Amino acid sequence: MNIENTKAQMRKGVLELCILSVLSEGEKYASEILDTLKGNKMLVVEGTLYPLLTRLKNDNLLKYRWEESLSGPPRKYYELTPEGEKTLEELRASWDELVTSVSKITNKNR
Amino acid sequence: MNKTVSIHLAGTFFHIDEIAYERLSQYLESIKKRFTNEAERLEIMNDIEARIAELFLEKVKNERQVVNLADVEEMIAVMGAPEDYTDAENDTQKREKTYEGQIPKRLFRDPDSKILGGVSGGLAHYFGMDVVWVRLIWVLLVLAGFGSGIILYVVLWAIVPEAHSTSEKLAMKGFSANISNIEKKFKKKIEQATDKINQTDFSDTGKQMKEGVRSGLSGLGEIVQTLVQIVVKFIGFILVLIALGVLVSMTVSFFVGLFMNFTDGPWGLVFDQVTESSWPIWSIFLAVFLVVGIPFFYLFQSGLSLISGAMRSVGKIANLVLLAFWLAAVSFLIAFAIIEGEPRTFHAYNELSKSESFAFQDTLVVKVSSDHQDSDFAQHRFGLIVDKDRHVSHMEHDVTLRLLKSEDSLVQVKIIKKGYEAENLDNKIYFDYQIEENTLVFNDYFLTEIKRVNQSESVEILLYVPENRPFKLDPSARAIYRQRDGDLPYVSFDWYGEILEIKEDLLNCSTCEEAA
Repeated sequence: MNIENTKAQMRKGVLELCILSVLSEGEKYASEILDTLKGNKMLVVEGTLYPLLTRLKNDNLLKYRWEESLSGPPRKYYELTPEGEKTLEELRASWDELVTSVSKITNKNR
Repeated sequence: MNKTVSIHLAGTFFHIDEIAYERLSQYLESIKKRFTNEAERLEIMNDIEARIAELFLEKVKNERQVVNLADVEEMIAVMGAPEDYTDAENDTQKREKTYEGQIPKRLFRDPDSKILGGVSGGLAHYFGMDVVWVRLIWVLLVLAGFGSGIILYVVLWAIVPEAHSTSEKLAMKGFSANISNIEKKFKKKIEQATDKINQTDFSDTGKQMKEGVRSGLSGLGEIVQTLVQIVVKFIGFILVLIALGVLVSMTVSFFVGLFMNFTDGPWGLVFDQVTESSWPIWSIFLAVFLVVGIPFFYLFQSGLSLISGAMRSVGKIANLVLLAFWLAAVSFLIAFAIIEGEPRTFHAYNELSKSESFAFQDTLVVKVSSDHQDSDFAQHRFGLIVDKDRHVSHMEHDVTLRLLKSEDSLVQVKIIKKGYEAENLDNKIYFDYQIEENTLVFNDYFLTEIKRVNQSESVEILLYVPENRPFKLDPSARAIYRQRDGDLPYVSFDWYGEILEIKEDLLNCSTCEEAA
C-alpha cells in the first residue's frame, strides 16, 4: 500500500470543499486561491487546482469574469454561484459530520 | 551559445532560450495528454499557461531578459509534475505512471564527452550508464574479440550522427528520464512535508515505525523491479551485441567475397570446379546475406527495444520491403538449390567391374600403399589432391579387399567401382594398382571428382587366388581386408606376412605351423 497515495487522496477529497470555502469569502483569482491552499498545506503543487476549477465551473458551482492585470496576463476571477453556495453548505455539514465520526473512532482506538 | 525563441503565453511575450523552450513545450504537451475532454482541455491549458506566464513574469524583470532552463524547472517545481494534473474524479484510472509526453530517446554521438568520435558518450546516454563503463566494455570487446570491437566502433562512428543542435542533445540525453526524476523529487518532497505533519499530528512513534516497515517493503518491491529491468536491459544488450557482430562480420565477408578473386591460389582450383554454374557468385552471396542478415537485423532491433523499454521500428513500409527482400532471397536460394543440385542427385546406383588375370611364377605378395605419389601439391589435407594438370580431385578411402578362390590356375584381380552416377563411372572414380614382379600393390584410397554432392562411392577389390598357389598378405593389407559371404575363410590377425595356401576351400598357413 502506498501511504503517500492515501494521504494525497484524503486531501484531494476535501479540496473541493476548501476551494468553495475560500471563494465564499468573495471573488478571487487562481493565485489567491492557491496562496490560501498552499499556506495551509492543502496543496503541494499548483497544477492540481486547474482541472478542479474547470470542473467546478462546468458543474455550475462557480462562475468567473475576466479582469485585466497591470502586471501580467488577464486574470479569471472566480465566485460562487447560488448553486455553489448551496453545495458548500451541504459539504460543510457532511465534513463536520465526518470529522466528528472519524475522531470518535480514531480517539477510541488510540 | 544558445538560440532564443519568442513565445507568447496567455498574451504575454517572452524570450526563451531553445533548451528551455524544448523543456517547456514538452511539459505542456505531457499535461495536455492527461485531459481527454477537448473543451475542458483547452480551458485548462489556457489557465495553466496564464499561471506559467505569471510565474515567468516574477523571474523576468524586463522585456529583454531571457527565460532559461532553470526558470522553467523552477516553474515545474511549483506547478507539479504532469501526474499531478489530475482531477480527483478521474484520478484512479490515471494513477499508473504515464510517460506519454516523453521525447523518444535517440542514439547520437556526444561531442561534449568525446575521446575519439563520441560514440561511448552517446551510448552511455542511450543506455543510461556511466561513460566509464561503456569505455571499459569497449576495451574488453577489443581485447576479447580480437579487434572486432574496433570494426564495431568504426561502424558506429560512421552510422551514428553527432548531436549538433540543442534539440538533438536533448533527444540524446532523453529528457524523458528527467520527467520521472522530477516525479521522484516530488514524491520525496511530499514525503518530507507529510513527515512533518505526522510528527505534529501523531506523536506515536510506534505508528511511524510501522510506516517505516511498510515503506521498506515497497522499497524491496522497487529493488526487485529495478533488478528485473537490469536483467532485461542486459539481455537486450547481449542481443544487440550478437546481432551487430553477425551483421558486421557478414557485411565485411560479403564485400571481401565480392572483391576477392577466388581463382587465385590453390583454393581457386577447387572453387572453379565446384562453382561451374552460370549463376554469378555475387548473387548467391547477396541472397545468403539477406536471408541471414534480415532476421539478425530484427534481432538487433528487438534488442534495442528491450534496452530502451520502448518499441522501436524502422516503419511499416521498411518492414514490408525487408520482408519482400527476404522472401525473394529465400526463393532465389531454393531455386538455386533445385536447379544446381538436380544434376548432382537422383541417379541410380551403378556398378562397374573390370577383371585382369596374371600368371605369377613365384609366391604372390599383396601390399597396400597409402602414399600418393603424383600429387603436385603434396597435400592430403582436407582429402584434396591436385594433379599435374592442376585438376583437383577428392581422396576417398572406402576401399575393401576380398579374398576368393580362383576357378582356374591364374590370379585374377577384379575391381568393382560403385557409385551413384549414371554413366562413365570408370572416369569418375580413379583407382589403380601396380604389379612389381610378383607383388600386387593396391592403394587404400581412390580419387573422385569433387563436384558431385551425393557420392557415397566405393571400390571393392576381389582377389581370386588359385588352389595350391603360395601367397602372402603384407600387414599393410589389414586395413582394407574384409571377409564377406562366399569368400575364403577369414584371414586371422597373425597370418599377415606368413605364406598362405588354399587347400580345397580352406586356408592353410605353412610357415605359421613351423613357428607354432
